[in-house]
Amino acid sequence: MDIWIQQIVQVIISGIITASVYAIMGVGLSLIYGISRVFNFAYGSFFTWGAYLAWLLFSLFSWMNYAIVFLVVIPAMFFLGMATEVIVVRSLRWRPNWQVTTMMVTLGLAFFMDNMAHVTFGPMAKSLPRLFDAPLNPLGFTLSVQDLAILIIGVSIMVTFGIFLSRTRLGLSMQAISQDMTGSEIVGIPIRKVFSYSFGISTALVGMGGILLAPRYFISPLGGWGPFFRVFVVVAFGGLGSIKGTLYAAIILAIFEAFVAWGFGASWVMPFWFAVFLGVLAFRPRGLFGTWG
Amino acid sequence: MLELQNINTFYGEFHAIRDVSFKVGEGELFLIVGPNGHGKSTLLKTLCGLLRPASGHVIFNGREITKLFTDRIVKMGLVYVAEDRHLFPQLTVMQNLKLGAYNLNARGKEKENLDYVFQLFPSLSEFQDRHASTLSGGEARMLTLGRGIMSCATFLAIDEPSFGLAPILRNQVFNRINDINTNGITVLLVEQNVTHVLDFVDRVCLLEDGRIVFDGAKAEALLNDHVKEVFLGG
Repeated sequence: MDIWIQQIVQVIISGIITASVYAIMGVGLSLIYGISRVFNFAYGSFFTWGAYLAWLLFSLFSWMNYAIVFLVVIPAMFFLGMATEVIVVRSLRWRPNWQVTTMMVTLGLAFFMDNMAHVTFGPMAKSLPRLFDAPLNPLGFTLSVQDLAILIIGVSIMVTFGIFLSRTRLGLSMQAISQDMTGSEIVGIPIRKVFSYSFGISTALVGMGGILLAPRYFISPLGGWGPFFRVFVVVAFGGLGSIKGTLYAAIILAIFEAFVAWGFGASWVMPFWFAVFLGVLAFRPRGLFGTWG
Repeated sequence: MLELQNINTFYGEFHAIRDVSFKVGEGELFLIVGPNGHGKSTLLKTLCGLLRPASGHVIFNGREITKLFTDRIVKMGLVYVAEDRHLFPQLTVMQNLKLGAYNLNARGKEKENLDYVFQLFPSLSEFQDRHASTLSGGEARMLTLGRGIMSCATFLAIDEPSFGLAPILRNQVFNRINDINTNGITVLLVEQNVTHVLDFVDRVCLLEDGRIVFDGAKAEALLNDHVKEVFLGG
């Protein structure tokens, strides 16, 4: 009996750790949609590229550590995201059917980025060193310092992001745009600039996710699609555009995923996500929460 | 202060504004009247940059603003107050007002403008922590006006401020608009309830089918049979 409870707690812990990464990635995906009304199909490819850039730094410099990797890669991802908005999305915006067009174009961008990764880094999967090596054993549970670090980073990003949204002028203007685009123009918010910032922040968040998950899994040219799909389901379940919903959905689904992997084996994980996705579409296409903020 | 030269605006295929020209002088309260669906709102949206005219020029304080985006126009002091409000429902009254002061010119005067807004609309100060979605029609209308003032407006283009309001609130709103105008902000007002604003108005312009059919001082307008017919229903 004891061993059962211990295992179940272990599964929940592992679920919560994954949830913290899904949450920051989900918020990023939700953010671009809520603000700039673009569904970004290249999201998974940015995940991959975030991890590859980190790998590149580690393989070029033997003295490299995670602090420097974050300091270099996260801003780089931010600017990459802004550039994507300016170069790829901006000229299409507000033309007839532009939301479909931008979806197609970002899908094309995803193929381009995946193949660029393939050409640049080769088909062999790469891995990142662990953030920390030591395992912790609080109360008999195994919790690696690595996992703890992921959890702490994930939670602090969410908290920082929450403060940013509710306390800063730019954050407030992002909420404003998601609630009333015309109203935002009327009060003088430069919405085009804010669209670019939202792309930048979103890309930085997914790049963060890529770096955090890479030591657990492997980095490969198409490796971003799996996490992207999961995060998409998380966001759909929580309600596309809702931060609160994304947070709850990430916790619920990541814990479920951990139980599925534990109870039925890892090969049932993707079918589980598909089933959830179909369930959401069939029973509550709006997700748990409707609006953004 | 504001000059429109031969403005033509289309809504899709529909030619909504046809060759409209007029001037609004500094400090004026300029009233635009006309039947529903004859282009009044379209005209306001065109001059504040929400819609692009197909041809013509909008000149504000001597500068051409025809092709500028709304945020730039707001920064110059020309602010649109929409009939359908466009408040941010899930943000508080205070946050809505603060967003009004988004542009750099307004940030420096945020405190001063906020005091003025609360002096004009004391109830907003009372409700500052409530979500905008919980406000009544009259309060929401006051918030849209307050938000416009927060942008450091020198020119307010106000669209149907009485829309959906009970008569007593309507008169309150009109009085506040008059106060705002008396305090030095030029006002371009679109309004249906003409009889109630006529006291304050300096000039009147009648818009029909997207065309200006009358433009003149109030006294002149009252002598014009066609304007009288539209104004007072015959």
